[in-house]
Amino acid sequence: MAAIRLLELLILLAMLSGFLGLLLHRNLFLKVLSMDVLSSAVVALFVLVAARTGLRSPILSITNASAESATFLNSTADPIPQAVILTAIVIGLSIQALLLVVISRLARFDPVLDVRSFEQ
Amino acid sequence: MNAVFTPAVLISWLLAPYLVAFLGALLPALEEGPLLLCCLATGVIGVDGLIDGGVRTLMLLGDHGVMLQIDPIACWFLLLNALVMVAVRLDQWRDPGRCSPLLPAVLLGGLNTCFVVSDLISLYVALEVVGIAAFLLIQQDGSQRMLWIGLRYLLISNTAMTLYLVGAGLAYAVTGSFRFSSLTALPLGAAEVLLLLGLITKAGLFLPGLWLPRSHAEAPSDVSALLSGVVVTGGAAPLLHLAAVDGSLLPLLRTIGLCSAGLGIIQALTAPDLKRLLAWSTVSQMGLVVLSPITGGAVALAHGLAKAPLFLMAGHIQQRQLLGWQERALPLGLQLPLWIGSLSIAGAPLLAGFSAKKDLDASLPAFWAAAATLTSIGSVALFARLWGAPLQTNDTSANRRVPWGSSLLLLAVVVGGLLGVAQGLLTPVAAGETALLFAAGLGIHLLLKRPRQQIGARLPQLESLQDLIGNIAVVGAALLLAVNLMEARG
Repeated sequence: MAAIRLLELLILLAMLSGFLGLLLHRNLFLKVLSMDVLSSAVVALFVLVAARTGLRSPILSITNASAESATFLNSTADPIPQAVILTAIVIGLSIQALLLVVISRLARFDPVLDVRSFEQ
Repeated sequence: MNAVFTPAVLISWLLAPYLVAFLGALLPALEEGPLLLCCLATGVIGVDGLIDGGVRTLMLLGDHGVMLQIDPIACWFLLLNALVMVAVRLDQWRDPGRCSPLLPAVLLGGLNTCFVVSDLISLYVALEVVGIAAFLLIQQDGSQRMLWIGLRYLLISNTAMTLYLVGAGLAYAVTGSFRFSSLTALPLGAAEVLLLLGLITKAGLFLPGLWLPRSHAEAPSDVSALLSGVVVTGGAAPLLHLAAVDGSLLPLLRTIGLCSAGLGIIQALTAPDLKRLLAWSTVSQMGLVVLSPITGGAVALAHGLAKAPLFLMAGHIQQRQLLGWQERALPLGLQLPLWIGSLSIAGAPLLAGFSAKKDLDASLPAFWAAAATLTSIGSVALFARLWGAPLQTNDTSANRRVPWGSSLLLLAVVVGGLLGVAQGLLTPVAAGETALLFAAGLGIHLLLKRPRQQIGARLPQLESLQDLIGNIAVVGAALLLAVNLMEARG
């Protein structure tokens, strides 16, 4: 149980550092990277939530399905958060890509990518 | 229940816009037809649901699968979505520079999904689809300004949605389900605060939603009409659904709503430019939408129907600064949407805004109803800035008559008002009350005439990217504090 608490703490720290980076960096590129840190921490959170029930991959093999099913279900990870976060990873990736495209185009106007030069 | 809407029909209705977007990219010759058909289907389902009043539930993939619910709350928003999308596309019909139907179709589909889902994760996916489509619509022309506005929008909305996802994960860890209905088992705490924070940001509400004014004011006008009319409701509708499921969220949501209404009005009263005024008024109206889950849909519908023609009209005006507005003549084709739209949002009788406001007042406890009434004085005062421009009579340009799309929306506004009269909302007392509100609003307008610019210069502007991220943190912390205080007091 202590290991889970420690991991929770680490994930919280990662989220905080991502959010703080987003808040404090003036460079747009670093802002987007900080957002990536934040979303990676969320992925880790979902994996941790899935691991509450056990650590084995939730894949049922046909050969020993009936014999082991009770113990199997008690020791496997919860597949739902894992499935869900897979979708979120894909969405996060595509948004990251879009942001980076826009940033690379904005770099033509200000190569330093300082936030303040785009605000008026 | 209408037998026509079998699960197969409903699922194809939800998926059709994406197919239309795909086909539109492959076969540009199809043009607007399929998209307008999708809008029509959306409108029919919305109206049918409102008349029927029941809840249509759709289970995908068995009992543990995804559940979709077309309830009356969703139907208001579906109808709004269909009407605004049709109107914007009709208005752009002859414009050679209009965008292809691809992105609007994705937007329509994404928003429809937002309104009918009933679990946290499907909502996340739908909101991100809407966010990406809106982002691409904003920065179509690729100028530096639009790139920046789009980037800012996507960065903020994705940050908020990431926090929302954290909330969804924490909720799942406690309840073991992503359904809205399972949130009742969740004690009010960090998970719900994070969920609220994400949706508040998407709906353009108090502080984290302040990305809205600049994005809506600077985007191309047809895109602004879509953004202000329906895209913001993508965040508001789920907020209403959550509040309907879990009543303990309602005090938080109402406080946020009232703050947004107040802030939007104060900023709109001093806004220097037409589109900024309209955008700030959207912030204030969204605040009213989330006050009550029962009537929020009606308020959003009345607001969107009136706000979209106002933004479309703003697209035809060359000089948008409000200084000297009363000296510049406008042709009839611009005056009509301006008057009907602004009078409706201000709550004039015989228009949809009046019916929605009466419904809202009736559904709120006394304190909140009084506060909502005060905000309608503010709405009158801010729209009074647009009234009184002389009529341009010798006009030969294309702006002589109202475009088809805007006419459709204005007609809907009037029909909404007449339906309200048919329900007996226009009593002599209500009419007198409205007259008093209008008199008070006009009084404030006249009082503010002179000191407006000085006040405007002193108001804090919290709209830089840095501020917006800070706003998320501040409001998140404040909500957590409020939740803990509420718990401590029992």
